[in-house]
Amino acid sequence: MEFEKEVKLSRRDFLKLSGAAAASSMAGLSFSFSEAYALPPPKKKVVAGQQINTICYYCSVGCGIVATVIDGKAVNIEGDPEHPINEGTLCSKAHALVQMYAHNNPHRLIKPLMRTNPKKGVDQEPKWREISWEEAFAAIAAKVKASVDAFYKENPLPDKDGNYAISGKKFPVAWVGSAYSHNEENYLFRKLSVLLGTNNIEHQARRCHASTVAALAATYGFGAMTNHFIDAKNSKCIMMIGSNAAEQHPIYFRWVTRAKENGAKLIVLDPRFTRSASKADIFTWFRPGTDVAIFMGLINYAIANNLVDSAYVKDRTDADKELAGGKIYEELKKVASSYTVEEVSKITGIPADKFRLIADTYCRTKPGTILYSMGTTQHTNATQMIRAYAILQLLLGNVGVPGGGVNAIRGISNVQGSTDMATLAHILPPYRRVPTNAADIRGFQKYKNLVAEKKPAADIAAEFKIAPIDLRHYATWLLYMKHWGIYAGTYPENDPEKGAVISDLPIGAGNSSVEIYRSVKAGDTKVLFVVGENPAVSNPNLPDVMAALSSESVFTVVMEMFESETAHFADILLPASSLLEKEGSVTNSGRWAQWRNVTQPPPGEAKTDLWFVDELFKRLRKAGAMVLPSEKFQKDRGASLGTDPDGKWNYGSPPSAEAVLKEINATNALYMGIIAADGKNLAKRRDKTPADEMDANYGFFKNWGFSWPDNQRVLYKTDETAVLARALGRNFFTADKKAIIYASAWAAKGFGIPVHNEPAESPDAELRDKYAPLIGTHPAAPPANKELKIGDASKYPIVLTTFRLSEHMHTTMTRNMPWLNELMPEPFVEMNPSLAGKLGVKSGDFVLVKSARKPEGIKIKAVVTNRVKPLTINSKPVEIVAIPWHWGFKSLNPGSSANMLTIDAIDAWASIPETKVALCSVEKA
Amino acid sequence: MSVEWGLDIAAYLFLAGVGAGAYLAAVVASRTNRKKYAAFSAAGIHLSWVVTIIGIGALFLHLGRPERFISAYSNLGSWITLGTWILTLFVGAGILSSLFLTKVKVSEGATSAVQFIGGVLAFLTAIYTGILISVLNAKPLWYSPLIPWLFVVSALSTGVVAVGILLLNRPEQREVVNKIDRLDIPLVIVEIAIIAAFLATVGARDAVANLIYGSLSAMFLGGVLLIGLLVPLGLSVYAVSAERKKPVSPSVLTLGFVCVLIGGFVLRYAVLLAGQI
Amino acid sequence: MAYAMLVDTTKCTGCRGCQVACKRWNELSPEKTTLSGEWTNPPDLTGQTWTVVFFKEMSKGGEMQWKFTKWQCMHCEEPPCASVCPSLAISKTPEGPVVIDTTRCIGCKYCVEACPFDAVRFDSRGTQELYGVKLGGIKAGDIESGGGSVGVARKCHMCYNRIAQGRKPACVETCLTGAIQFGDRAEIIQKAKTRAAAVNGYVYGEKEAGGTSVVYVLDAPPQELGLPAVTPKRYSEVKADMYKSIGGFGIIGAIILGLVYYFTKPKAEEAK
Repeated sequence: MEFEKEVKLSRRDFLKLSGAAAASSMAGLSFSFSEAYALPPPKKKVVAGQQINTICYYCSVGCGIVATVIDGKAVNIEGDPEHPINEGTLCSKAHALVQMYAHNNPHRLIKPLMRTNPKKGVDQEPKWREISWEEAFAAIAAKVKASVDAFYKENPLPDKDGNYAISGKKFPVAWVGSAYSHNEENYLFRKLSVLLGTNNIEHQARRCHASTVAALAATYGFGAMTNHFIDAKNSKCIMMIGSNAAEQHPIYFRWVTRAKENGAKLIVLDPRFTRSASKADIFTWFRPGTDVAIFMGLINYAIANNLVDSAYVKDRTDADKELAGGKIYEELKKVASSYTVEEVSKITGIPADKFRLIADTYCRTKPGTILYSMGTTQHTNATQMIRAYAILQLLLGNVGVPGGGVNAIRGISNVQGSTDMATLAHILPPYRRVPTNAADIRGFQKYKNLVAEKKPAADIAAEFKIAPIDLRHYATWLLYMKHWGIYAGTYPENDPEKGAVISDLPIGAGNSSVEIYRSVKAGDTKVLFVVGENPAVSNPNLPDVMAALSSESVFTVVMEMFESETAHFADILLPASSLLEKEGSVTNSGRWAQWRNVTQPPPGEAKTDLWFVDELFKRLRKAGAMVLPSEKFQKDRGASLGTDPDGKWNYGSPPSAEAVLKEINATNALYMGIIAADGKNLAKRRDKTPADEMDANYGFFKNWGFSWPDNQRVLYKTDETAVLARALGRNFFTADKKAIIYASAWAAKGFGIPVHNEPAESPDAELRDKYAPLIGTHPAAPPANKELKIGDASKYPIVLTTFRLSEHMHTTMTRNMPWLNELMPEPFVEMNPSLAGKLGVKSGDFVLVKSARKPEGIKIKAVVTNRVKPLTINSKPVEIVAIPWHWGFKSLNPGSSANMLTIDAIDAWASIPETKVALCSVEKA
Repeated sequence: MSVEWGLDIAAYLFLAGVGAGAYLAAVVASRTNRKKYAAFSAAGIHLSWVVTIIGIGALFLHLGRPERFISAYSNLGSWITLGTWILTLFVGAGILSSLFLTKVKVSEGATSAVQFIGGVLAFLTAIYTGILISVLNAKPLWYSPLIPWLFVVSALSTGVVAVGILLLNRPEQREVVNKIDRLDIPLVIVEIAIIAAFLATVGARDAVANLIYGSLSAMFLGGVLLIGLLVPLGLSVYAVSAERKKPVSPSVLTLGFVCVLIGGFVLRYAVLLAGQI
Repeated sequence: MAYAMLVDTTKCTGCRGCQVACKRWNELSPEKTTLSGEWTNPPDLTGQTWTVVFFKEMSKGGEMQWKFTKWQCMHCEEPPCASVCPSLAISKTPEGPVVIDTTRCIGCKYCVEACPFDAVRFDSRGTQELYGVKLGGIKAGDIESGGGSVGVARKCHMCYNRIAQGRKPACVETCLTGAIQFGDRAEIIQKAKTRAAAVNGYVYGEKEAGGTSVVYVLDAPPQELGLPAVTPKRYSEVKADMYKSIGGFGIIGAIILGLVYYFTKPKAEEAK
């Protein structure tokens, strides 16, 4: 090669001129006449030291990562080439994980802190004092005991009915967190809350996929993503709505890309042109909050054009069942018929011909799959949206099929697991209801008695006039009685009708996420635990949330890795370990439970959540802050119910995650089998051998980790091999194993079949009148939606939606990592040139965005782009703007919070807040 | 695009040009008429290596790792390496020439030989500063075969007037100074011609537009054309015509010479900037 | 085996895993940035930013498009930077990467000026932490050279130090859509051509500067995406062309001067 020759030539020439001897005799020179000058030695980071596998921190795809640890310090984290989902690839966030360790990041909290400034507020510096864990626990126990004592003074047991039971909502202690914590930790959070006496326990899932759980459970039986991530490659038509997988679940997009390489079509619907949209075969903008109209329109199209898979519908759904006015299928057809292409276009802003193209393409290309996420779930009628998705997929025969399904892509790495562990106000794990009232406990006693008599399940169910499948709630309560050492039932046990009701399970659902802060503001919640969550940025209607956190009447304990916005309001701030520093099982959105390993011990005095909840339980018991109703009963009556909560809280010292997992295996029907008969922890499996030919064909990876239930990878696939004989995942989890199109429980209020409702803040008065929003006096509106600050379209004419960026994970961790702040340094509002022109604004200018929650507005930078554009809604143009919501006033790059503007209206069936759509106004700052 | 080769490189190119031009002129003058141009020649030779060393100082300021400069001699395929060798040898020849003129007595033949070699090195110094940038097709404005020749002519004119400035306070050298002034006329005309040809033929039309009516137009039209070429030309023509009647004041000559120097520096700076922005 | 990297921009989703992977592997400083319009950040390559993904909104036939183009050193087959480096600090390794030995670099910035792709940068600041957050690695700061990274030229080195360990460059390994691939250069070029034909697009890097070890598949003309137009001539040929022209003008000049001398000198002698 000429170049090489030239280089060599020049060296030779030099030699001729100077004489090598002379040159090399010159002291201190770094000449080298070898063929190539010695290059610096290659880095050893990839092959040296210890390679420790674990699962990534951030989203719910559950990618494998490998940490290189040299002399006890992690020096590198990169993708695990062996992992079947990501195959060594990673998104931008994961590459900054090395900056999570305290030895790299001085902003990690490593000591417990106590607030010395009695005042709380955004402008009030906490003035932290370093304390010991002993001091922290002492303060916490004292505060909890004081509020618990005061509570029992006002609500003594037995109550006026002579029952020893407490309301799940009234208790003055609330717990928030966390989708980041492992399954074992969440399990103990829930156990602790029950033993404490409250159902006021919530976490990010409420604001993530609570509507998915409600909708899919009501339609298919299991409220989770039906297929899994790798399965996308099996699809021939992928419809993304309310999902921006290329940015938010990047590795999922790896499999979407594979599908495309195999000829699949990608259809993307979004209020913004996203990075996912850039790869779509068909894209359309649409108005946020109008998904039901779109999907009822698609259902109408499928029915009208004979694209329904009648055999499948007849075989696997309730379509043939009779209602008062005809078959369910007829009812569906009737309701769908009003969603003509023109009506859909009017409501959503999708041009009619584009809608027809989408409908035709999707309904004719199989298997088709729907990918959705927050864009769908965070609405006041999200449950109905998702039901509409679920019904369409049934009509097309796309459920229980590889490459099909309804893929509810969950957010945080373990939000699926934490939901399965029921860190939620209205359920016990897994998805079992909490007792509704005292009569329910009497019913439970009756059930216990029948079980003791060894009556078969069918007979017991008949006694209660329910299907055998619905006995699962009582069956699970029985397991908790055994494993938690608690009591629920009557005394005497043989008199369920008239005996005293005793329930250690708090009665009735607790406060949902939005309601917790209202309860704090009202002074009803006296002690608030926030573990691994940052509501001061991620909850809607931040002015009210911050006012709540600033109240003097609440004692707030925050456990965090960095000083977050919520930590700013804390009384006690405890240092948490990161997910790289603890072990436990974590369940991705595809229902795969995998195992996290410890790459390094937690820094300084930071502790794992497992250790914290374990210590907390023991200290609260010791301080007398935790007294079970059954214990009060036993003390009062001198009787014995056989309770032993202390003895049953026994996970080792220090507590071991696997010990907890054993208990989960015994009590959680979905996780049964995760510990194999031979004691092996299946979540730890890293075996890519296909279990059978089907596995090899479709990429199930059934020997990798454990997928619930019974290692089913594609839910409702009737011929997939299962782990346990019951093969729970093969059929719809309903009484007759058929999917439910008509939700009779919701029919009374008009929602047997999904219908469109406008969002709480609607830009069009006519549409708002025709499709009344689920607020105020609407018969289906939840009580929480009667007290809202609603803005009118005359004052706030622009539709606001919020979104995420690939480079940041929610609110705290990534904004403490300079490599990620470099990519996305500040918040911004995206607006179309048409709006920018009217306001006299160009990219980089600051504007004020105002809403009814924050009339003074937030100041934020404008980005003028064609990615958002005004849509024609009901023949009128409506402008749409979009703001990423990651920012708050703390961390390395503070910025304005989008959730200052969003509305805390909640979904009528799932209590998830409507953060994806509101009305706002924009003006130049 | 950031401007990595800026003021420091412009200063170095300019000073090396002055030094090279001064030496070359000195040697040619000495060959033409040893007696008449003795002072001119001596001044030129002494000036040449002093100014060049200052230029090399500017180069050291430019380097990110000046302590490693020795390795710059390594790649004879690189014009920086070739330039490093040329400069080293040129400065050596210049110092030697100065010594032979003053402290050290040697034969005529030796002095001539050294001056001849020095002259060749001076020419190489002048032209290499242009070749250095003209081989970079990455910078289209520089990638022109006219740049080396432009720099040679500029080196000559700036070198010559630099020596002229040194002789200004010596009345007995007046005639020589006048000759320098006259010599400037053809040099400036040739330089203008080369610049015109360069702007017309070089491929980087955007950069040329920049120079003529863009962000660099003030620098180019004002600094290079007006001050650097037209004003000295005018003054020289005036001096030549005026000198027939009566001598021109030294200040007029000084002004002309200084303008040429300014123009030479700004020319290099403008070319560097125009190629990079 | 001579490797090359394929960058198929038609598959890129702009996730920027490659950008952070590069920073992580090479322990490079984060820059302080702001957002103004397009999402590209940092706005350009620097001594501490060796690859950048350029975001560009476009519209084709009424359809909205958003293009993402990863940019870094092209690892030319005959790198002008290596040719012009006075201290022989830059070499084209047999595996393909063009590597700057920052222990030899004198910081003259000739390579910065010589690169026809404008991909080399001078690092005037050196490796620095931002907000006290360290950059991971075995020792924070410059790992490659004993002398620190200040005052030298730096650029993508195609992770030659990963290739030496039997791995692929960090950006290749992380690319989740497979937009960035790595392999034998001839095979990569074939892949690029096939893919470009399939999308009615363009190949960039096969011919530029005589061929490079980074080959792009584009679905828009390179200049529309901000990629520079570069001659297909190898650098030695570029130089040879220039030498010939300089010499040519020299001869022309000499002839003109000779003629002028011939026509003016005798008159002067006669005057004497």
